[in-house]
Amino acid sequence: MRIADRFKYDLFMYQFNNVKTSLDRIQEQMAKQKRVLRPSDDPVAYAISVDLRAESVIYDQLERNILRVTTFGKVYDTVFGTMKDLLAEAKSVAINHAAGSMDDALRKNAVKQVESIIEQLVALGNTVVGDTYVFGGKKSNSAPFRLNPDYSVDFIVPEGAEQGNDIFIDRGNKAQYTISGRDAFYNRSKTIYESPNNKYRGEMILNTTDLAYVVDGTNNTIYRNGSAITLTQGTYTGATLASEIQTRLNELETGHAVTYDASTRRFTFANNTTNNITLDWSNPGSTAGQMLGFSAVDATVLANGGWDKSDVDTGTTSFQVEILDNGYYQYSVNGGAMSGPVAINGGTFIDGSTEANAINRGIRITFITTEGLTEGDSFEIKDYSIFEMLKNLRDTLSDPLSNNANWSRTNIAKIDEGLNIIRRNTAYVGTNLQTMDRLTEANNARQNRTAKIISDTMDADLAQLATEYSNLSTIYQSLMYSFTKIQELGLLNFLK
Amino acid sequence: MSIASILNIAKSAMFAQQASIQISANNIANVNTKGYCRLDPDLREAPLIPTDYGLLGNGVEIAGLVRYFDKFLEATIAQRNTDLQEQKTAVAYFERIESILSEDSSNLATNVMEFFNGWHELSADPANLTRRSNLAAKGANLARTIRNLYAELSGLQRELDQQVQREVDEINRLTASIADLNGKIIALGSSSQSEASDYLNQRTELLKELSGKIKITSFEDENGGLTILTENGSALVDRTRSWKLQTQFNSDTGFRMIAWNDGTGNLSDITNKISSGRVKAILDMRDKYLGNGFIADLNNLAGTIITEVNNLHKEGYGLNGTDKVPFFQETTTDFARDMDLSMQIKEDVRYIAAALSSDDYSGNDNALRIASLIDTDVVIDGQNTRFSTFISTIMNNIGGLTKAAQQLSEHEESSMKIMEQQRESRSGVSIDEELAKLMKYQYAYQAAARLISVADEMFQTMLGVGR
Repeated sequence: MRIADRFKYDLFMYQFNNVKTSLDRIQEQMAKQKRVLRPSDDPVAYAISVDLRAESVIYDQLERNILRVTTFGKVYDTVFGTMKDLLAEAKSVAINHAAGSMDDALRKNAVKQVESIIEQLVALGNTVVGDTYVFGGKKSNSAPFRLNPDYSVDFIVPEGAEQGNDIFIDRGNKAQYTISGRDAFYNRSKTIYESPNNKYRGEMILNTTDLAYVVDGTNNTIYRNGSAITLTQGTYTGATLASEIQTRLNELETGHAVTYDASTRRFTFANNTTNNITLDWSNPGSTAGQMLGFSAVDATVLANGGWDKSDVDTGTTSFQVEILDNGYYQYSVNGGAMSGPVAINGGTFIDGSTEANAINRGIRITFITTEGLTEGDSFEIKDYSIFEMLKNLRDTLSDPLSNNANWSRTNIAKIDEGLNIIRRNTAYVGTNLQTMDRLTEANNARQNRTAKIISDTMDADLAQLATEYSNLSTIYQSLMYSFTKIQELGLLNFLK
Repeated sequence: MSIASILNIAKSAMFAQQASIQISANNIANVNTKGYCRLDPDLREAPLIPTDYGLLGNGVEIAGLVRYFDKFLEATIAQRNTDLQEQKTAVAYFERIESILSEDSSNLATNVMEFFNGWHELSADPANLTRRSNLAAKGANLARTIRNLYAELSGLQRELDQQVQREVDEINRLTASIADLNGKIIALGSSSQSEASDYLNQRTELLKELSGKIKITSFEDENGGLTILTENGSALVDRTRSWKLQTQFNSDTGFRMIAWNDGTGNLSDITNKISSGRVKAILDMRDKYLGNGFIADLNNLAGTIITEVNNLHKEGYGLNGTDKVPFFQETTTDFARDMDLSMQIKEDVRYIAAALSSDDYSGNDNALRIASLIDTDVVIDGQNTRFSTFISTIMNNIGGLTKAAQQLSEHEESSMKIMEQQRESRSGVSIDEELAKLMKYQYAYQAAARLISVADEMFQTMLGVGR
């Protein structure tokens, strides 16, 4: 075969360029320490690395979220510790008062002490981290507690905003990183608060601390996907009512789960069927909606795990009882108008009815003795509140003619109830912090694993690159040398 | 037979060898000339002269020039060049698109992730104005990234459109030149004539260049005139006549289409009939890979982000109690081009709707819903996918296309090298060979000169006899 000179040169240039390109490429790989520099180097590896880097960004964010929950948890831990100390101090005051050993000066001093405790608790309730009031629930940009001149404390977060904010702590999983002021300073058990001015010195008993759910012909219907579901009439607890609703829904299609959370007194409808469902709360015929705490807005519940939760607490009902003369009392519901007379210890529910209904919610009040019950004595039945309890103590201490040591004797247990709330919340925070520790470890492991895969996929093996570079350098030099030699071999050189 | 005839023989030999040296010199001079076909003298014995002793030789003559040219090989090279140029063009543009879209330069996936992380950050402190500003900045950054990518890709698309015009102009120049060369070759009588060699070389090179642009069919008539047709049979050159291609704007796309002008002003659109070559690569790049490809992907991505985020955002409440406010400016078609924060969000970050209830403007439920989009399947261009997966698919596509084009281009180049080797083996100049020939001709020339000297001596001897 004839070898033309131009072809010799072209071939040399072609090979020279190939080797030079490879050398440049290896140099770039070594400088960046990456095997894959651009998508075309390894399209699949590059795409995987983009996906994994995106995942890594998610894990970084989850780490920050976990840190946020941890930070809040530590703040709550400190707050609850202080609250426990303050309530212990209040208990000490109450015990001293119950012993009847306080003279007027000590009593006045005790009042100041309790007032200070209330002020400190309000300050704790209004703790701020960053721009977040930690007990503000979803209304976290304004102070949740307001101290009034009479040392009553208002929790001013709207009911729909009481629940704490959630945050993603894992892919698809959220955790509450704030604790509602309602959960920190109140609980959902009904308690009797007596006026310090009462003449009555005896005890009172509530038949239950929970409210009943009474289903009758006026509130027994739920609409699902446009079809009415009729609940069996009767008196239920939250849990049994949830069970009844679940049974009725599953009669239409299996896969519904209805639960009741006693700590929030809310119902949750979970849809574990394979189809989306609509709970038609806006349908005027959906009469059970209000009792179950749902506002009149239809909810589409997604298939395979979607859920809809009560918009409001279903058990905030409170009663005011005032003793009349002649063995009767009158009552009001939620601060409404006073009722007619109801016989004291008549064996009926609070409204005098012999059956639980939507008004009395199954609540009955019994006085251990009627001795000393005086016209004008008043009692409130409502959810337990640390502030309410302390104000009650403060009012008792303030009035030298008040119920006096009797309150303290009978109500020290109420301070213990407050301490129980704190213990429960402290345990919750502790568990949460442990969970965060575990999640941090798991997240770090995932981050490391992702980083390793990215590294294995994308990073360069420097030893291998150095070897390749060395080989190519030799080839490069050989190429130049051989071309020079080939050119020297021309006839022209022999003729010189 | 006379001494003078010896001189004649010597003279013809000197002329022939001198001409041969000139041909070799020309070959050497064109050793690096692209498309040059080496020439050799066609030396033949001069017509014999009848003598008493029979027919005696009368020296040498150059019957013509031998042009080392393989018509079929050149045709194959021209055809192969169509595919080679298509792949080389594709590689050049794919590499540019790759450099634009590559995550290392665009940070597209990172910015999408950072944007949704901004919602995560906000969910951790929804009333915090710094976090709101940070989220707005991340949203603006994402919008800017997508707008910039769109601008770069659409800029490249416009450049390709202008390139279509340049290629058409170039094709017209080539066909006109080929027609002109046809005229010169035909005028010389035959393509095999030695005088036409230069024109033939030029025409071969132009044909190769033309075939690199679009796929063509060509054939030569008996007079050396070349006819060139497009693959759908439209004539580009017929002997001395050439037909022009023209561009015309498509009113739907706003881009240039290619039409064949029949010479009377009637145009027929041949855009979709061009199946290979550089022009095909440019058209595909402009319409298929950019227009309906990466630009559309970017637009779909931007459209889905805008729609998904806005749909959720409008259901929420800002810190100032307002609802139904979009986060991104609402557009209906050119999402990527126009992506930007809404006026309200630009004006005041309190409009960012982190809350889902009118009871709690500082809630974070809506922020969580939007943040969860980072890890949720959404519908982008009819596919259920996550944002990061969609972007990695874009990276995979451009990487795959670039790599495939690179591999095809390498393959074509390698094939071309083999054919060029064959061509050079046949037509190329070897200096060694030419030097050997030079020596051969030089010695022959010297011998012929020596013959004159001998004849001269013979004349002198003969003249000396009479003295």
